[in-house]
Amino acid sequence: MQAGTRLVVNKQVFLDNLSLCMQKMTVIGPQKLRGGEVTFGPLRSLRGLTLDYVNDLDPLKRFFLPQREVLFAYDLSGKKPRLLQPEQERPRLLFGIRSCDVQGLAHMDGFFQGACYDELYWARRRNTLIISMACNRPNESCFCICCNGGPWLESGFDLQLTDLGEEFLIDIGSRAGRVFLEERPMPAVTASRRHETRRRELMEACDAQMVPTAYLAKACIQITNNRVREELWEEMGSECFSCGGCTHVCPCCTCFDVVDCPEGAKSGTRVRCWDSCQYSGFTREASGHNPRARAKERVKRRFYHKLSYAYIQQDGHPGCVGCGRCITVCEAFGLLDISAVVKRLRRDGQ
Amino acid sequence: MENIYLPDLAVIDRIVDETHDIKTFTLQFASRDLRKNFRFKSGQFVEASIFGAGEAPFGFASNPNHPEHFDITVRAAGVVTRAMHALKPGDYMGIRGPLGNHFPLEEVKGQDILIIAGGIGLPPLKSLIDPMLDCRGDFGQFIILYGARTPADRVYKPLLQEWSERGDITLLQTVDTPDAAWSGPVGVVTTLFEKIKLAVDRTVAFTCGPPVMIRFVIQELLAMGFAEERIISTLERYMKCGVGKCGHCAIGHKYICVDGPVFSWRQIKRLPER
Amino acid sequence: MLLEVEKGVVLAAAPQRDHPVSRGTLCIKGWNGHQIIHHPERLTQPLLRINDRLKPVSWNKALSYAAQRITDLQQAHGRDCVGVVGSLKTVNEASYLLGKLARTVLHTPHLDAPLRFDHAPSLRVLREQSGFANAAAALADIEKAGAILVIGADAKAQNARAGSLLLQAAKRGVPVIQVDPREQEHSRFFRLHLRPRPGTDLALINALSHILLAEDWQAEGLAGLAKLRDDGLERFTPAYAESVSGIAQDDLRSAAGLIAKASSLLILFGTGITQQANGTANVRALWNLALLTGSIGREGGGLLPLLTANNSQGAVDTGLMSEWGPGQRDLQEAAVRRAIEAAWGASLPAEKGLTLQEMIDHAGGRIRALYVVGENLAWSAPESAKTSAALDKLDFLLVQDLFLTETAARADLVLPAASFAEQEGSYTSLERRLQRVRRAIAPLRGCKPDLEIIQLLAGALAAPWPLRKAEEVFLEMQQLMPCYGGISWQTIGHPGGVLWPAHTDDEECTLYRKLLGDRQGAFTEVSTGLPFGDEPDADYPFTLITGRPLFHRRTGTLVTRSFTLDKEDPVATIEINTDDARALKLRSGWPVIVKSRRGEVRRTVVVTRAVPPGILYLPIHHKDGLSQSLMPSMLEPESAIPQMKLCAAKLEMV
Repeated sequence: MQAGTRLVVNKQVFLDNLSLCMQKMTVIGPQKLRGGEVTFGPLRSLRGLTLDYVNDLDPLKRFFLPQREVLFAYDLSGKKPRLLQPEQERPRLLFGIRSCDVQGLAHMDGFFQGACYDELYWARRRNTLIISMACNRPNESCFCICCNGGPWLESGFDLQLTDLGEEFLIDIGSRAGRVFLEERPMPAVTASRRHETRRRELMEACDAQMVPTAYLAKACIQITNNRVREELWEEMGSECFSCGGCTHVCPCCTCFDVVDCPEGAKSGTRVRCWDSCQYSGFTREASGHNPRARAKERVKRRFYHKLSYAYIQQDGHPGCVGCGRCITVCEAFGLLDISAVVKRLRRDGQ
Repeated sequence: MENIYLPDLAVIDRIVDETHDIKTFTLQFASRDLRKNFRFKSGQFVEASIFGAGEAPFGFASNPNHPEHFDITVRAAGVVTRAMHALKPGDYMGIRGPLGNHFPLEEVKGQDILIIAGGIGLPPLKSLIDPMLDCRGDFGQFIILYGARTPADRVYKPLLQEWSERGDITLLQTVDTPDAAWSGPVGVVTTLFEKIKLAVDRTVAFTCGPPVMIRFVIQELLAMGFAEERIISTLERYMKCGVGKCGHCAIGHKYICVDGPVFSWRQIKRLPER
Repeated sequence: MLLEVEKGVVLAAAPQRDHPVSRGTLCIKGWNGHQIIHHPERLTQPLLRINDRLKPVSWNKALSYAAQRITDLQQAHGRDCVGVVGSLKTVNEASYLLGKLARTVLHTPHLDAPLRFDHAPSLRVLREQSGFANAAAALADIEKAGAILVIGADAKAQNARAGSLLLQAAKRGVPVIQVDPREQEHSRFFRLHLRPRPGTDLALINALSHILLAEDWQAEGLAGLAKLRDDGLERFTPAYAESVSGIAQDDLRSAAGLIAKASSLLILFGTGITQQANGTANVRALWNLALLTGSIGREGGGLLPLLTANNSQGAVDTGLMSEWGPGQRDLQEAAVRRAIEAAWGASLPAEKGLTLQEMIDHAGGRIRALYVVGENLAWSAPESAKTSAALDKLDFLLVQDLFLTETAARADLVLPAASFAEQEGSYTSLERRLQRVRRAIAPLRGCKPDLEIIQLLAGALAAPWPLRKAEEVFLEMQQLMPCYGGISWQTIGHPGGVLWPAHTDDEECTLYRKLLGDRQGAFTEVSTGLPFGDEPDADYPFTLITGRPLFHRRTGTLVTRSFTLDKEDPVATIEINTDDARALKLRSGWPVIVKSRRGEVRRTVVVTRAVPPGILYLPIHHKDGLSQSLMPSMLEPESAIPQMKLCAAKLEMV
């Protein structure tokens, strides 16, 4: 088997193998909570797993950049302070992650290399096998087709599954993915024309159902050339509730705060937790001076980071995968998510 | 694990009270290897940790040519700095560094040097002045202008005395509010410009201090005819991780902690926010 | 809200997509509030004052000490020397048992909930008119309203969901009329912004009603109109209202016109109009206005008070307000008392109890002991200096809380309580939505859920109550609360719970109509309004208004212990009009002393046009001096709410 080959495996057989994995590694997959909402979490058995979902509102970046993560622990009880690194985790398998979140991981990969390689992120990344599931149907806020975020990807996964009903059509994306299949007693056949046709039908159907749009190019140009009226930013700044929801749920947002959490006087941990450029405390200096004191400046900053050419050149792509989470989570509903803002910018520029 | 957030341990060698709320800490790494191999450049900074209180950035304030020790000069303004001020020689701190970019030193050899410092902006410039004075002959005219709120608020008072007694550099000091003993100029640091003669085409100006001061200084320098690349300053933002990851110090697509803190005016002008 | 837990530690919060109110959103406090759960300052042991220092003691010692002390004081001074202050944040089941403890075990009539300080007038009028001290509308009505009047509240800052729905309505073209002397962030999106002189809302509201009647714009088929006119509405002409409030007659007519043309009128209101000399009169006037437009009981219409705290309404429903028992029933009625006594198997005090401010005022006299649950009274009550002195006069102060608040720091005994993530029970939201809260982690070692503490205290007071779980208590309290009838513990466990009244498990009612039946409601009397008690003069030339900014609530006990939230609003400010600032030669960023006739605080100046000349706006903040130390505690006579919204003030240079 080579990368690029498509295989077909019986769904139940695949899932049974997944179940066996749960004994040796942490398998994270989609589960239904009381009330019906689906969220990703460690699975203890197949019974907890559901395939009836579009996506988790809580972004999957949290498995690689946890909302709260210990950087190190300190112990001051001896003559010299002792610093203790966080423990290495068990190998993990992330099953059912959607293409938009896989694309988000690709974005985070680029960010966490660079000049200062973030080993905490990479340890989790290297430790996790990514088995993604392409979407047969979007939800009412998805727009990944506008952002190269899916619904099917060419790369970024170890295995990409398409749910054909009784079978999974599998794209092998990496050596680790190939090895995963090879090591397991799963009869696999090469995908036939029938399978390929079915997959194409599913792709077209999914594309057709997407509702929100975000044609980013023009908005990128406007922002890069600073051709957006200050009054529009003023209006958006006034609308914004500064809840920080957009940054929390965005697969491409990575900002964090660092804080020491003492446990008594002699020990504690240094922790990083998600922070938001939409909060006024984000840029406030010790002197009290705040370069982004008003919500207007913070909203402007957010979309500069997402859409300006300076960042696109640096990252290779705009900071959006079209997952649509910000549309759901924004307190100023329908006004300040990236799809709405792009529309407003384009309209304003006409 | 190679953890970029994990500090190394350093011991406080010496503490000097500069003013009522500013101290200079001389530090030495606990590890012998680090003591031997540590290097830094003028204008760079460290993230210093007081475990339990937190971490904060401080510019190097000593000579990079003598890296077995290094100084940071700290004003007690927040949780971390106040905890630091409570320490004694022999106590430990966490240090991550050197971080950030550096002042151009080699590149400005042969030029006249103009240093304009305000208040606590002098410490990072000291990490530049010290090595420059080690090779004084490599530079032309050497002028230091230093402004502080009051005479007591000046840092490095013995060193200022030394510099003023050297025959080969010009040091001019001014204060906003004098005391009874002060016989020098009174006023903001830009008022000292009229006392010096500059050949702007072969002078490089370095300035650090409160943001308001820097703004006026740069205005004056431009008015005098300085080219944009010949004005070097440092940008300050709230900084957390120091390694370009947490996002707090980002201006435009630059991170002050990685692409700065040293920038020329030409670079600063191009940034979308200031 | 969903909480992410790993190895017994709450790591994060996430929104719930399928919740009918939040619909997948959280406000800044929702995202970051969980940070208080594992804060190192959480109380983990009872603390007893020994030799004037608080020292850790065991639970057994603490409870027996409390029981002994209370019993001794009651023997010396009578059973009603003890007062109880309930919490707006704990679960209904704990509030219900607290009321039962106070009235049967302690046998004191002196029990009150701190909602007294915010919405006593709203509760009184709503109950008077509809039979229930509850919102006469739901949040969903914001989406259906024909016109919306927002008065004395900043929805964006105080209730993100209401603020969000309001903004969406405004953007859709729904006419929103805002009444607030000060400009808010969202004012620019509203159709009309009326800026009356502080304290003159009554004239303004009544003038709107007057215009509706005068133009014959009122709804069809209303009874009692002649009486309404004759009872006083006649005098509230636009000209009179203009002279009193400063709002131009044309603007009043525009507002009335917008209201008249709309299919329904929804009124959102807050402490801006309740914490005043005319508090009760103001709410009555709003009721009249809503009734005149036929909006009471209609979809998209009614009155929606923006309550504070997560379970203010529950505190009222379960019987923590002084005058009402469980189910909001009037304890002054003998029949009600008998029914409750029969259910509880114990007698109830017959006398009328003191309200919250009255308990503070009588500390050291009639009140010798206070049991304060989940309320930082030292900082939330007005005239802080007086409050602190009062608390110190008590023979016994018992405080139950998560942290060592300033009230707890003065206590004789402190009991460590569990947080919202560590207990089971139900909450009732401002729109009558009853929902279960499930614990995400066990109570931190050493602390106990309020429900358990109250039951243990009852046991120590020689009235052993079997330790029951929340569900059992819910079943009991339901018996005494007809409004919660027909609701099961299971259904309130689903996202969104149940909006009462519901008569079967499946029925949800978002319309207030069911409560009113076919009653139109009678018009209330129109007051002329009492004069405001703390007028500006040459010495104190400004009128100061307090406000609740987004990042601080009440006293900041929790907000300051979330490291993200604490960074948001570090500077205590005072807003002053641009022209006033120029005259006083003040600039933004300068420090200034703000003085009232009762106290002073230090604040940083913010110069802005958002505040009209002659007015100072003080966002409630806890650093550099308590905001409440400036504010008057004199009571509005009908609802016993302190008139703590306005005071006369002056500024002095530092």
